[in-house]
Amino acid sequence: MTVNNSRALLRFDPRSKLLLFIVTCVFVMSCTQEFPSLVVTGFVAFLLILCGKPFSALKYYIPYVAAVMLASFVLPRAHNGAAMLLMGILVIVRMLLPVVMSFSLVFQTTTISQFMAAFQKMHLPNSFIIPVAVMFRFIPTLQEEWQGIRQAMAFRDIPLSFGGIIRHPLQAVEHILIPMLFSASSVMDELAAASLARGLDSDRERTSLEEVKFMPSDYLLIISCITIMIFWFMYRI
Amino acid sequence: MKQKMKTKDLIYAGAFAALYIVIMFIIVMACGAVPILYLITPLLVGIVDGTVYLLYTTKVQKTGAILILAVLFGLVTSTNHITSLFIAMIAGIIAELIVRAGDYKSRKLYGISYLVFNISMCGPFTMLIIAKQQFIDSCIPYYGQEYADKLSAMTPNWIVLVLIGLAIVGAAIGVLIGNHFMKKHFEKAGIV
Repeated sequence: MTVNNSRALLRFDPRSKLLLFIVTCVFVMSCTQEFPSLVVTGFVAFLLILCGKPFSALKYYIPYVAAVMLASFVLPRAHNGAAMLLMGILVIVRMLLPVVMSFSLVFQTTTISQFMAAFQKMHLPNSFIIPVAVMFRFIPTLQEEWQGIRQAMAFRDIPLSFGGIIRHPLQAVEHILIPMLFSASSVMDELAAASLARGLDSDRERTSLEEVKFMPSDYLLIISCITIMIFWFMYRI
Repeated sequence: MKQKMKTKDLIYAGAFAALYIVIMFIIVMACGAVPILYLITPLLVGIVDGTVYLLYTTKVQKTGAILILAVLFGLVTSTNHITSLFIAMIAGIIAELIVRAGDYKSRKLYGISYLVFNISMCGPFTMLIIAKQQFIDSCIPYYGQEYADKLSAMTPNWIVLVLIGLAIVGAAIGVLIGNHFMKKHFEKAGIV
């Protein structure tokens, strides 16, 4: 995962970004109306642009708007199985894209050491900080590994089709899961070695070159997160 | 062999949690479109994630390893209801106690502990008992009335027992498959 902040107009503290991530997750899981979800997702897209990721902002926001529009068009007319299936797929898109957006806002603009520094300021124990930081760091890695595995499968003429998975589920699992576990465990070993080299093992409190503290922009972000939640609760009652 | 987890083990825990959760999400997303498939996700996740769990517990045989995985799993799945976190933690603690009985060495007990651990997959479904109407209502704007009616008809209160049963059966199949894969691939390659 590369973290390139050179085009960022604004930088946020990892903690306030995490708050935004949690708020988006909760909001997306509970909000079903079109307009509020378009606004909140638009806000996340705007923040992504501010943080220097205009391409990922548009890449996720445009399909999202399209899915919401299509869903509100299909829903009143959905009466047969095919339309239901389409609705199901659209719901997945609607739930997934905002989460992916705020996920990339948090993790494409924050280095792992910023994270650790921020968590340490929250006085969380190491046995919590390290797994959480590694878990989030690892998800994009898995995606990269997955692309490699697909290429390797194509190269060896193993097709990856829906029908194939249905007909030979066990074989499909073996072809996908086992290479994934192999490459993941070698990445894990490298990560562990790198962390030892960085002195993560010592019991002393870590110092960080990156200064992590709340700026005025962070307070703005926190206030807008709280506003979203308040509006959302008032809207529901 | 009761040892505290070292930094290296914590890194393994985080990485395996990522694997476990990503696989779970892919299955749930792929099944989410059809109500009946959505209800058998505990079975499917148990079958596929069993291998991941077994590899993890082979690599990290220490106190608290399973509990950390359970907490991370619970945190991620509790976005729509906080009970998921508690259920995952309880399942994790019981699984931890089972392996503790074998002094963190017995492969058989690790296999059995997964049967309990996979009950954490039922966490998101507990909404069906405690807030069923809210859950069904939340489906209407997404899927329409017909889907909601179907889902409501398919989920009487005892469905949770069925789900727990499915989770345990899935985990049992997952452990069998996982042991097979471990012998066939990982032991041969010297990873474990």
